[in-house]
Amino acid sequence: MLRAIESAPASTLESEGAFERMYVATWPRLCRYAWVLVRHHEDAEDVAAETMRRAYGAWQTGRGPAGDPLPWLFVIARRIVIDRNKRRVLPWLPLSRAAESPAAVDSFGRLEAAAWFDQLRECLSPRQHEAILLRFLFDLGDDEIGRIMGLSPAGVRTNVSRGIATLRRRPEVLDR
Amino acid sequence: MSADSFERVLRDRLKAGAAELDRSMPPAPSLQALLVSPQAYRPARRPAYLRLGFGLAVAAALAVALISGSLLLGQSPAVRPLSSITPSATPSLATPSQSLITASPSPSLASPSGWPPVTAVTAELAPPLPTIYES
Repeated sequence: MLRAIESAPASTLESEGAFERMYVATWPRLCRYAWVLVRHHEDAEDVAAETMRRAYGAWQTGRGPAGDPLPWLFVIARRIVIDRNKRRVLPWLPLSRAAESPAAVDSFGRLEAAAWFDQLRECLSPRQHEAILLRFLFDLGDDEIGRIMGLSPAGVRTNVSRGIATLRRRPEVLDR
Repeated sequence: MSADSFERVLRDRLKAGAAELDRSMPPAPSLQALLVSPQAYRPARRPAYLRLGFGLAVAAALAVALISGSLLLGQSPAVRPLSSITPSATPSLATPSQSLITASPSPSLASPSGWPPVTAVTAELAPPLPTIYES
């Protein structure tokens, strides 16, 4: 569906129907990327929702993506997370979530996966971690990753190769 | 392990982990609900009746506080200026023996026998005051 949106003419892209199709196609990956950034399930959904609202506003005013919408959405999500981190003084905990322990809502497999992602992040620098995830988890190219992270394609390649070299020195991370 | 196979293993591992995380991810909410309200797309997690109940509880607590506060204000004695208060000549009802507070002996400067008076000791220890000469 994403490829179909990419090849659609601009007039179709600006329509609400096209936006809704793009939304359905990109929502899971947007949530996943937001989770990578914030490491919290509900916060990730909030970031994804805010991203979609901003994207819709931009879409309505004709400032939609030129090509693949996924990197465009990732850029918006990344800016939202950076803005939130700048504003954050104390973490806000809503009452509805206060009595909810992580073990009560997370399955063992999900906790294990989250722990593995945490271990991966500890091995790498933040830039290497993000570049590797964008490359291998989201299958994005150097140009797209560079646009998201604000790096040149060469800088992306450097971060990816250094991150892989680090992981090769610690193969136990992948064995978990 | 060659570079390609390592990258393939890494990719598979990442995607397997992400799939495990996605398993508990709810499906995409309707776009209309998402665009209309920031929280409307998650009605199951933050139900409206909880917010309504919390709001009602806060309103009831405020009402009780206001009512009790107004009652307390109505019962409080009128404030009189200090100048209008005259000291009462009536003695206290409590006899000295009934009083819970017993008067402690006043500290005396008298020193034990054989010791110099405290005033004399402090005068010895105190440094002499500087003399001020007027020019």
